[in-house]
Amino acid sequence: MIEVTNLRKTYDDPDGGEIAAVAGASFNCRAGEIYGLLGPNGAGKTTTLRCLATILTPTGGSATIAGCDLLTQSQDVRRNIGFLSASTGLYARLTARETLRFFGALYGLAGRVLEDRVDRVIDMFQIGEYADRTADRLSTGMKQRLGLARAVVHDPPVLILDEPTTGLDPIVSLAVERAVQSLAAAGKCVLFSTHLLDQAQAICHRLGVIGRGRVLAEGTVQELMASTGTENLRGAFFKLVEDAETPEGEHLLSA
Amino acid sequence: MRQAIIKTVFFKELTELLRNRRSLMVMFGVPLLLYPILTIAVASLTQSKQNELASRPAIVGVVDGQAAPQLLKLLAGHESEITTVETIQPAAESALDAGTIDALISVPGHYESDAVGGQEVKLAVSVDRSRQVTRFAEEKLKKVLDAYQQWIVQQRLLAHGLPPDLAAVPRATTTDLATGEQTFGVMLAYILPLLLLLTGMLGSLYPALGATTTERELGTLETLLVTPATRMELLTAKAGIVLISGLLTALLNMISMSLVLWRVMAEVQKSSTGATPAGGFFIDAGALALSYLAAVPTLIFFTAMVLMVGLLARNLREANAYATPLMMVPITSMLVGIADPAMTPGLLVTPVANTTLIIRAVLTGHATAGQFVLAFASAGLYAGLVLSLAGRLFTNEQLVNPAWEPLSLRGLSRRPAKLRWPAVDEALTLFAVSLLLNFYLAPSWVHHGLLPLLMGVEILLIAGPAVLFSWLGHYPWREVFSLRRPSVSSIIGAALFGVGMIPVMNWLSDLQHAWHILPPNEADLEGMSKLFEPTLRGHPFLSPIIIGLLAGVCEELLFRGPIQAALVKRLPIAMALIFGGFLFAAAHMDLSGLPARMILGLILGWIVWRSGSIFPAMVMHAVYDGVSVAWMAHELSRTMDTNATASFSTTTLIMGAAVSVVGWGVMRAGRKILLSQPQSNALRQRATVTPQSPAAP
Repeated sequence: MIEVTNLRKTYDDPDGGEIAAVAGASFNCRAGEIYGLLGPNGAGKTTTLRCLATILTPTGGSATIAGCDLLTQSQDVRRNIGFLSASTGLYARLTARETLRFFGALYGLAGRVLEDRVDRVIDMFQIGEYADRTADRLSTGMKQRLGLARAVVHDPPVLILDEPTTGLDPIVSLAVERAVQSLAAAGKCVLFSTHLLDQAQAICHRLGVIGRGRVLAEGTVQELMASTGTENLRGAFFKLVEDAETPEGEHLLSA
Repeated sequence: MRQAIIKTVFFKELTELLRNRRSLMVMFGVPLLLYPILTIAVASLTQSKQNELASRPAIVGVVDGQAAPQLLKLLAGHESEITTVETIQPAAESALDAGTIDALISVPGHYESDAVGGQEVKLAVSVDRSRQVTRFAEEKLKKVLDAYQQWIVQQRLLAHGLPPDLAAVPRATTTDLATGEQTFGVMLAYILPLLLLLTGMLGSLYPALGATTTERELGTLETLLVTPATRMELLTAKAGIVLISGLLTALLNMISMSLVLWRVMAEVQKSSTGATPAGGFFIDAGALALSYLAAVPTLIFFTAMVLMVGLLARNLREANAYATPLMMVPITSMLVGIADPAMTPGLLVTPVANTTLIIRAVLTGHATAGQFVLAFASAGLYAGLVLSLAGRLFTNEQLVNPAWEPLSLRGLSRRPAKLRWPAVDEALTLFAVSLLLNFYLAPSWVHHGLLPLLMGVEILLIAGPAVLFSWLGHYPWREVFSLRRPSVSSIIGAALFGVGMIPVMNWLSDLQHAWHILPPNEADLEGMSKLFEPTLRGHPFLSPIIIGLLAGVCEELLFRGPIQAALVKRLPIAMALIFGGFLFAAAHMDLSGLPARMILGLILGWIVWRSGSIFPAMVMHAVYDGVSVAWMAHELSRTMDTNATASFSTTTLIMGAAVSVVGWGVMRAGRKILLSQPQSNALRQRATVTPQSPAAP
């Protein structure tokens, strides 16, 4: 569902030269799978996801999402993805139902189909009780659930979630995690970025550890531990990230 | 662009706008409630106070009044509306200071007898103008003093045995030809342009910030950008709601303010003259509608600026900081209103000033259709450019990057890293910059004489901006300016075509004038003759060569350089060449010569497009202008008539047409020769960025 090969994104450095935010990331994510992008702040997670969500244009490399090429079929890519970040992307003066209708209409749904789909996600995420309340009157947890409902209102096969539980309390985080797991169980391909190791271990089927704009290693938690010779995900993560910072690691990355 | 998407986003923005009390207050509350209530309250209070002061008898202190008995008699008269208080000097001034008397008259000893006797004596009147009541007291006192002076003159005449009627002053009557609509229009014209622009900006501010800065701050913009809606669709919907808010707010304010002002003035007139309002001021609804129409492009200009503020600002605080100085810009319209300059073409293409002047002219009934079109079109051009700039900002992928600083000085100093083709908005900006520079700088160079003037204008104000834009924009010089080697025959053909076209275009102009289509302006013709005559008489051979070369090289660099390159890239070729020809003609600011120059511009553009080289067009242009000026110099020396214009016989016309056809044919042959030559590798490589491959003849 998601195939990323040697993806690169560079910016002009105000002081001259270029800054590589993503420096050749490669990974893939299948249908029904939650693929976790795990990395420290500034590792390039958000830039990678923004490239895959077509907000930014990659400088190099290639990617396909649901069979559509990221560069040449960006409109088709957008139709096939649902995107959610830490900011829920909700309009304060629109009700939950209006928000869902609005985004559904932008994805080409109309009439009865749109209404049915809106009702369905309202039931799916249990937001019927406050469906006619404006977003500024919703609690943080309600907002994040509505944000997820908004991201899937058009029933996309791929979900791109950029640290969707940042700033949420453990109870709301758990609710979001369960919702994500149920979406994956329903066959969605979920790309989930996080810097929370416990969360990654709990819900992701496979993980890609990202550092210095590249995927340093990928696999299941056990595979990562085995490849790094560590006893837990925490150890594997720190080893991979620290190795990337050493001159040898830097040399390997730039090779 | 898909209408369904635009409609969806538009109605989402509208729903949010209608649920935002601040926006509604600015859009509807201010014009429909605040204006009428405040204005009527202030006007009523002022009127009531003035009525009270006018009806109250003025209290006038008189010192040594016994020296002017007739004056005391007149002051005491019922019709004087004055109450007299006899007083003495130190106490009188204290009373005036304390406000117990409104005016003080100090009568010198033997004043009346001396004055009647013919001596020059003076009454001293003191008032305190810092008090409101003084104006009314002075008016009443003036009537009495006028009557008293008249009486003194009559006494002098009687003393000399002359009839007192001899003192009657011959009177003049003044008739105001202004209609009620015009009178009201003059008053409205002082405030309407400022009001329209300011309220339009205010009305668009909250919707603009809501549609841009707030979206970015809340993260909703990112969410929108991952939907299948394109950025231009999103911007169209957002700009639509912002523009409608601004236009609607301005319209409501205009209607409200006009009605309130009319009502207040009618009340003032009614109370001051006792006449009914029907005899006074009228609102000319047509003029008001036309004024609003004239303001629409500038309103769009300012609302687009507000939209840009929203796009540039990273948060609402920053947006407010940017918007505050921007709100001051419409005040320039008030300055233009106060200066009340003549409506020159230069001012009619100057942003803000054009709208202010045309609204004033419309409201006072002095606007012509040509002036209206010029002001409207130029304001429309600026509005389009700012909208285009907003589009560039919105489509920049860095829009969602919180660290993006599009306005940084460092960013301004950096040129684009890669070669790029000029865009249409850049071409139109270049055109506007060159035009405005010409309007504002060229007049101050006229006193240097024709040739220095033309050198300055053509090199610095026409070719200069074209070269500067190309350097700043990092355009591929060779392709944008079509700097390709021409064949010898294409140059010869262009020269022949240029010469042959002179009688043909002259005949077309004669035909145009015979049919009274866009007749020439006599004053302009005379001005041109005065400018050309000394130079043509002094240098009859050198002048045509210099003028031809300057016009041919510099004007072609601008109009067939970046301007044509941008148009040809974005528009269908026919439309691009016609529009390019129109811009070329419009830049000469000569309405009568517009059709002929447009045809010439079209032909020159076509030559560059077909040949892929600017040089044949330069040659044709130079020959056409040079020979025309040489002919003018010849006519001048022959007829000694400063208004001499070239006129051609039928034979010359036929010969000209024949030479043009031959020139055209030679040029086409030259094109074939050029195409048959092998291109260098460098040319082939550069041709990859050329927007159009030169078509086969």
